Amino acid sequence: MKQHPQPPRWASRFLHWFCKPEELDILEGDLLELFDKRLEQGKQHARLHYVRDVFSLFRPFAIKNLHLPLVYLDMFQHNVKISFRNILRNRTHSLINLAGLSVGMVCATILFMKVNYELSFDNFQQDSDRIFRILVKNDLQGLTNSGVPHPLGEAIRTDYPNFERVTMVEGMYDVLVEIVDQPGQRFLEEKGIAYVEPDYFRMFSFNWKEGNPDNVIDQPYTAVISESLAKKYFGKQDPMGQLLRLDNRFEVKINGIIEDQPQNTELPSGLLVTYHLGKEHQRDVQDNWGSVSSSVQCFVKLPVGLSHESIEGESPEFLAKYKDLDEGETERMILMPLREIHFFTEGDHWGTAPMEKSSLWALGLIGLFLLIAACINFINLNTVLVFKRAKEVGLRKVLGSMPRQIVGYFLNETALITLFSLVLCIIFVSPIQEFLTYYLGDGGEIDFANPSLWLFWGAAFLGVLLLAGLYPAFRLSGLNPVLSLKNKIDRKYGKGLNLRRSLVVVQFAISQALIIITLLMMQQMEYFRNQPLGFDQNAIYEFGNPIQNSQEAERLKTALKQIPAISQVSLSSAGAASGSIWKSNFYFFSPEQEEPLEDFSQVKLIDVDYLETYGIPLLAGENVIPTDTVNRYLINEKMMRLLGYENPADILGMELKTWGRRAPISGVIQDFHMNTLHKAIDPLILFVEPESFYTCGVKLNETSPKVLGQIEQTWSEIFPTYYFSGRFLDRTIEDFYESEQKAFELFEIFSLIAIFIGAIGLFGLISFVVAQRTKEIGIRKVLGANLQQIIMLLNREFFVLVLMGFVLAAPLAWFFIDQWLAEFAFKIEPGVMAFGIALVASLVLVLLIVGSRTLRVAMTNPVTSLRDE
Amino acid sequence: MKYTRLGAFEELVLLTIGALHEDAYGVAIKEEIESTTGKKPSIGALHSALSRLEQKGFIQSHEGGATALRGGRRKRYYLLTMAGQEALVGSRQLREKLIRRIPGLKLDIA
Repeated sequence: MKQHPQPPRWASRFLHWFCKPEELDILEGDLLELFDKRLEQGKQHARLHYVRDVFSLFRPFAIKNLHLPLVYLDMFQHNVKISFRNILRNRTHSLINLAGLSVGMVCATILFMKVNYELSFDNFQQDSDRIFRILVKNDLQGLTNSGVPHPLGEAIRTDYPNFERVTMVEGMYDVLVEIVDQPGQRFLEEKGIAYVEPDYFRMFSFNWKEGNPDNVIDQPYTAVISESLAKKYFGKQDPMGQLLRLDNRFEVKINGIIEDQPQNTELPSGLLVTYHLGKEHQRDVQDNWGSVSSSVQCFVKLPVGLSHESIEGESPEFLAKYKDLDEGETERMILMPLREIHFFTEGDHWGTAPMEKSSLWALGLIGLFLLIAACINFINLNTVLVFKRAKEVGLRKVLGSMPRQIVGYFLNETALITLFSLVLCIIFVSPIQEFLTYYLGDGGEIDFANPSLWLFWGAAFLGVLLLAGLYPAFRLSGLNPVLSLKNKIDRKYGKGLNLRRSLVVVQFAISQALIIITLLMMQQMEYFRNQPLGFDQNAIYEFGNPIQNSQEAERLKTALKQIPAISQVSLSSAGAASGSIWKSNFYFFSPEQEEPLEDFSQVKLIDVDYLETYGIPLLAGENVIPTDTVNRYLINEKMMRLLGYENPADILGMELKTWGRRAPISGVIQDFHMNTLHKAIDPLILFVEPESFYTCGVKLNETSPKVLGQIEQTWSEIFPTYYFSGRFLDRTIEDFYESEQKAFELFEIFSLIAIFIGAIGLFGLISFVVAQRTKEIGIRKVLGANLQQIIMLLNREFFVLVLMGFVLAAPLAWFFIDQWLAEFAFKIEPGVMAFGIALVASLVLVLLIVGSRTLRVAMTNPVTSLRDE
Repeated sequence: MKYTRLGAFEELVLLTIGALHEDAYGVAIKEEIESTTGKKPSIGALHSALSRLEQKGFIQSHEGGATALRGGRRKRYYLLTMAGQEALVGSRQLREKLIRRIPGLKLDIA
């Protein structure tokens, strides 16, 4: 028999411990009754609420007299009181600690929640450790566009009957959805729509509002819709049985409704349509093993105990059976665990932004640095306070305090400050997080109901308490009471490289490394922005061409040319820079060689006006001519060099074959960056193919909203049943670097904060050192030292520490930036400049802080400083 | 009459106890409040209000028999006392007196 679920034992024990015996029975009865009722909503839910309830009962009316020995309580109260007085007495000191710790905690919390969110992707899916996405890797070409062939799912079902679940998924972008019952109601869905097989609903976890996961999309032309999308389309009407028309091609019937999935999933869940449609709407290549699209994926769920490595190992034979491979060419499957997909940046994510794991660790590390920087401030300031507190410690010892009690007392004080910073953090973290949302991206909101947030705060509190509090507490508890009462603590406390100095060095190292990295990132971003792309990106407006044939193309072009603000119109497969990249193999027939040369290149399908519109210079030969059948090719310089030619004129007239057609090369164009600057320029073939004109680009003389309105109106008249959506080319290009730009800005913000924390710590430390040496300065002045000498005297120590910090920081920053830059094909050479600036900036900062604190002391009349005793 | 403070939440609890007649015990009161107001008072807040009301003499309690449903724990039932009823009437009278003085407010609550 299965045991009846019980509430968490520790919570019950806690209740028994604090609750008055006469109330216990009644209260626990209520809690148990509620617990049993909540079991219907799940065991975890009931347990969580039980714990919450126990804590809600922790109130005066129910708490029994806890018999703590009175002396502990009195001592505790006394200690808290003295601690408060001390905190108030050393106001600057406490303020610095408080500011540093709360700022550090806020940042660390925000970064923790972000990292936590990114790591949580698809963790709510049941058996997520047994679900894998399949990648097909070609030994020659590498990953084949990271998609899989359409028939793969069926083949796996045939050859691997032991797999629990198999489903193909094709995620769709920019789908036009029309509600059949309300003609004219059209929506353009950027993402969230996918074709799936029935196993999709049995492999992944959904909460069903309507419909049965076992047969919901067994019929063709049926679909499952999410609650929010249903509400958007149908309002208060019942969505079940409603018809939706997709992309003006076919209608699907809604057969099921699911609750909205959490945000942290990679899988589409807006509108899920049957993968297999009737013959007339079969998507391109259902039986084609040779062609893959990155948006077509296959997911499998393995049975318990079957390792994915063994499947990968035998996959070459399996694929060779179905795929038409060349001699010596092999392909293999890679099974990527469901929860890893989010970090696989090369793949198609159906509109979800993937996350580089290294960036994630970098964020986490910065958070940790910020907390550590704040702790270092705390340790430094508290160890220098030794002089101020020495008498107090001496007296306590004389009156019978054990060292252990003194450690406890100081930890208590640290706990007070830490707790106070934590409270400040809890109050301010949410608005600050919202403020940073733009840079942080989606996810990682401060959700106070999230238990991991409280766990983190608990851990941060304990961590800071021990890290920051333990050392000063032991240091102070170890003082000799006699010496401290006689005021004879060694004033030269801290010669050589003691802990305090090493900590200052660490802090300088962190700040300088951050400065160096930020500066170099800034340079790289600047370089990106100013790199000539090889084409004209200004005032080019791009939008879709929904019907791909030459008559429609001409109609659109003619209509658009009527608008006076448009100087050029071009139809093509994709603009000069675009996320849509087409690749193909080609054959080159060289006059010197008998066998044609085979290789891969990018292709762009263009019309006559493409080069003119995008301002791409033709180096030699002639432009393409209007035609329906390919009769000539243009290539770029990179392609020319790939084929072994240096002079553009030499390659003209040679023949190429791609897309099954053989024709001469008529012209060579200058290289331009068709990819983002992360990647090198690819070899490129351009030719006319009106069947593949998906994009329309226009060059404008004037970019006013009025002109854009005219374009939209003209377009909508030609394509009344489609949805217009256009954007400027330079905006598209900016978006390529959006994630870098945001990462950089985020880094910049947190670096500044880290430097700020370091600076206020230094300020506190220097204030104290200067105060310590007031008398020494007085004597030096009497003996004839001038202002400069005195300022330099105090600066010298800190300059040395800055230099030592730099020695640590430089290689660290170099290593980091080298890793970061490795991802870009076009990048800066990290120069000495950034390192120099970081060093000089730190020296100036130190000089300013030391100078401002020293100047006053150095200028006081020595009589004043020496008289004091 | 001596004025004894009756907080808004206390008043709600008091009314609910009255409305439940004989069946007013912890969980029942909590659920009744949830279904009539939609608010979800924590069990701690509720019991704390109950103990305050009892101290003020507005309610009295007696303990009922144990049932298997609650892990064998007893229930404590609450009943309105005369003072409790007076307090409710008093607070209603005060409210009506003031409401009547609001110009233009219609009082036709069904």
